[in-house]
Amino acid sequence: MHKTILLITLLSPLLAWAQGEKVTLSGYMKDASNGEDLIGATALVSNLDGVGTTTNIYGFYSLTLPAGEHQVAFQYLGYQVKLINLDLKEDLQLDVELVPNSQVLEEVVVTAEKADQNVTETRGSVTKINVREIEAVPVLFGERDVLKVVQLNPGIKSAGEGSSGFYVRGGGLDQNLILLDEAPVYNPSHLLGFFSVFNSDALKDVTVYKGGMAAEYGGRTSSVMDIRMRDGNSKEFSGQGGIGLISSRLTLEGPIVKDKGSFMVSGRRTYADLFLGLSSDESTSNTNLYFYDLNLKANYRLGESDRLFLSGYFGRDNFGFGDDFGFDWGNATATLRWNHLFSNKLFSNTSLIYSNYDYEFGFGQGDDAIGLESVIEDWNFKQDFTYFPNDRNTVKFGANLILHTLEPGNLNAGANSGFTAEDAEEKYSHEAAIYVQNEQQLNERLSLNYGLRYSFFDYRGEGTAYEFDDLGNLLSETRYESGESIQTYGGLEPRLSATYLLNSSSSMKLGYNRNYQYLHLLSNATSSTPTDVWVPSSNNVEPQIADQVSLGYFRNFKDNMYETSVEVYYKDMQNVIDYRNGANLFFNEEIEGDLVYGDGRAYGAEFYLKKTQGRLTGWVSYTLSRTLRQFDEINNGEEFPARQDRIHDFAIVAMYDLSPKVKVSANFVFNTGDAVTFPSGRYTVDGVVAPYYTERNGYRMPNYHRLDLGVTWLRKKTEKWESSWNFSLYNAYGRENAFSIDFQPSEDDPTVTEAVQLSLFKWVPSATYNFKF
Amino acid sequence: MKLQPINLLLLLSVVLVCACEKVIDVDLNESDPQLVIEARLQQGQHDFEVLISQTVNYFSNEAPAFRNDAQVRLLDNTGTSIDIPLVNDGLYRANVEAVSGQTYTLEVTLDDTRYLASAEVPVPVELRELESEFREAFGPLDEGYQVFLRFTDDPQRKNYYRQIHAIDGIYELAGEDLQVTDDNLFDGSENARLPIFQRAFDPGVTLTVILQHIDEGSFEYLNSLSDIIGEDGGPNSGSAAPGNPTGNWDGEILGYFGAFTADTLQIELPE
Repeated sequence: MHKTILLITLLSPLLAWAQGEKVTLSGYMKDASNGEDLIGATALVSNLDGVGTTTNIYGFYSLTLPAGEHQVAFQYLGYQVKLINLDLKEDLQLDVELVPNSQVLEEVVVTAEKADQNVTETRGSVTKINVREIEAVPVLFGERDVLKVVQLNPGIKSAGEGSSGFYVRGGGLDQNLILLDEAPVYNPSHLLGFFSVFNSDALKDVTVYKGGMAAEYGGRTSSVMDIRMRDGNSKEFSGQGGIGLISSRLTLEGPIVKDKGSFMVSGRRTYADLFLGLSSDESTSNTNLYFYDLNLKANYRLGESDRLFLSGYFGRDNFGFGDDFGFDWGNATATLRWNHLFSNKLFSNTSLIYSNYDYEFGFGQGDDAIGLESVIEDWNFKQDFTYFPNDRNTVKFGANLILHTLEPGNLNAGANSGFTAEDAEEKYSHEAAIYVQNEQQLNERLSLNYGLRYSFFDYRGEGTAYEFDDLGNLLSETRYESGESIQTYGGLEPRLSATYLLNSSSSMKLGYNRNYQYLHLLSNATSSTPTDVWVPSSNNVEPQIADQVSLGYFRNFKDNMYETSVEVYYKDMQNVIDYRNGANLFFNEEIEGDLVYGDGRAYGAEFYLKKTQGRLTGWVSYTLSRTLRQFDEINNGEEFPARQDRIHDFAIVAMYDLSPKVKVSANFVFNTGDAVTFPSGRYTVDGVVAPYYTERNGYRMPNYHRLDLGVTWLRKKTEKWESSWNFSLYNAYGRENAFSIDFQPSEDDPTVTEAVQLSLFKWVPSATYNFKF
Repeated sequence: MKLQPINLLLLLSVVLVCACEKVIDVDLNESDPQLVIEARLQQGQHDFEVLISQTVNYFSNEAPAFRNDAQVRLLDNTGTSIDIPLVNDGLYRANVEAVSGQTYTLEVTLDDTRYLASAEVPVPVELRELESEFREAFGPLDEGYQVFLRFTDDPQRKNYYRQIHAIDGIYELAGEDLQVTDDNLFDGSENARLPIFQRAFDPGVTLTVILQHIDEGSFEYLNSLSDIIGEDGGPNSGSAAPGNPTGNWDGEILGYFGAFTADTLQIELPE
């Protein structure tokens, strides 16, 4: 008896301690059909209120719970929920594979409860693109394009017909950081903007942060478009592709070692020039016009705690006339990453990233030839940690260093060309940042994501620094040696997002962010051309700074069948760049003297309604907004609307399952016109008629609207082979939308001046045969 | 050099898409008339002309309005002034000798306001040779002869040039013929080769080409002017910074006062 009492007494503290002990459940969540990591999937503890976590970019989750019995629901939108009962006595590594809904053969599909993610997740101002969803959205030339689909969402506006560029919440074209597996893509446009460089067959996840971006992102002031490539099927060989009127594509993927490593190769090429070659017009038949994209990805698990990834992208556009003229450009990116689990709570990723964008054009041949090449090249070393201390906090911290090299113009001139071959000076700079952030669940209703980023920029030699007077005349030049610092900048970038759950189906979200941008794009035309010039911040050019605050209300209806949101934002921009009259952006060493600096502000309200279930799905998006600029040297110093000040921007996308084999889709877009500068008077000088301007951007282009229709017809679906036809009609009612407006003397009566509008596209049909094996 | 890579977008649109044009109604504001004073001083003994006019509303059919009520004087750097009298509608003219390297000031008094602008007369540059080369058609250019100017560029200073040409005696003055360039791409070259941009000439024509060495003020003005002038006499809808050209008048008026030297050559293109 005494011994028993003694034993119990001795053991009771142990028992008490065991009761309060915490264990960590961690692992990877993957797609059961192909082994792809699931990004942002959730692990929710059903028996503990509000306890759960989401997987990171690599599909890793970590949950620290009290020891004992739990039921954990592993879920992800589009997949079957997996409920697992666990009796946790010690740390457990549990990898979970979820079955996609499309693979489920039974009638009853248990949909993931985390369909309310748009309400509960701690970040507003986010647009997530489900890559599979975009397959049905009809786009130009039948090419599925994530950049085009992103522009159908509120707050994100297309830069116009013929451009892949976009504006986010009133920001400029260069204010969007486009990352492909962490590598920045400097020019995401093919063919002068008709297509983007992203082959959606190779992509897994696309997320656009319009505001409130976490401290781990930086470098541009308006948005981050984080694009992740698929890893490749780690279970079996598979492929998919399509053959279309203008282009074709093929993706092959498979395991390197089953369930341990996989690869993916994805390619696409257009062949518009094959049709041109048939033309009887010699100038047309001698034209070559093509582009290609190649995406490569490989990953391998080196044991329990380590994983290696290699991603690459290579693309090129080629445009030329016979031997007389050639113009080509392209991006190349490569990312080498090493994931390491220091413990089941500390996840680390180390990346080495390379990115290169160059364009080249040439005239003539041999001794008469003139060629000009421009290059921008980045080397980026990045270290990120994710620490899961407990079930309420996820801490991220890290640092990165980018070495930028800009070669604004290398001139190759033949001996007889009369041009002196002299390369424009290269510009070197270092951009660095460190950050720390925490995502914290304060209580059942309130969650926060707060962080601080410090960014630093060093513009350095070897190079020449120019000094100009107020009118842009050159005052002096100073030479700097290699490695010498010419100018440094730095700044703190606080970030905050907060979500307050009003009830299980609605929430309010608040966001604040400050962003610095050190590289700037000087663009000379209405649509971004490949010859746009990137310049670094310097002794003349200051970094752009943006402060944005946003507030939103998110509400889901009918058991998450309808998602709705309203978000308002205000953005303040400093040090935005514009040009003096007659600025020469082309091969100009003293280009900084042609730049003027000012401020901008943008504000607006975004409305969004999405239907996620049923035979009819789709969304409606409406943005009401203004974006204004102010420069002392322009418009007499008075505020004027930026070109992209499209006050009303509306899009509706609808997809309807006509039958199990046929899906029809339509999208309709409407926006009021860009701000444009037209003359108010005219005069004659030097024998030519010159326009007299009284203000900048005082007029509007006509309204733009367009309807696109598409049909997807599933021909065959077996376990081994799936094929479908996709037909689409761009601009179904053939509206001639104004691309530009010119004023010309009338053809009938040259003394009368008239306004003539140029449109690019009328009806553009296309057909594509898609297959999957 | 303003090498606008031949508005590639329009090139492409010709090739792939509809490139449809149609006349539309655009409502443009009216504007108060604004003064335009332009003058060019040529090195050596030449007639010096000053043209004074005003702007009219863009769509208006009115003839340009001239000002015949101005007092115009040309001053050299010693303070000597020459009166420039009115000879025609808005046109003031006098025969003047202008010396290279000297700075002249033009003074116009109008509506009780005095406007001043200055220009330094450049040194002469010899147009040594004209070359022609037959090119196949590409893009918007028909097949024909491309013509090049050969001259020596002084490496000691920043130089600016303008080229003007006439086909069989008739001067070409369309928007894209306003061609001015700085010496960026051929600085210091003893045998600089400057093409006549965006023009293909028919075989057998006689081309008269003038190479002007112009001052910086002229370049600033004409360069910003050529940026806003599109083809067919209208404004350039693709300009990045549409605004009134940077003139060198000290007041808020349009136009400029420039100085130049000129050399001319002729070439007869083969049949």
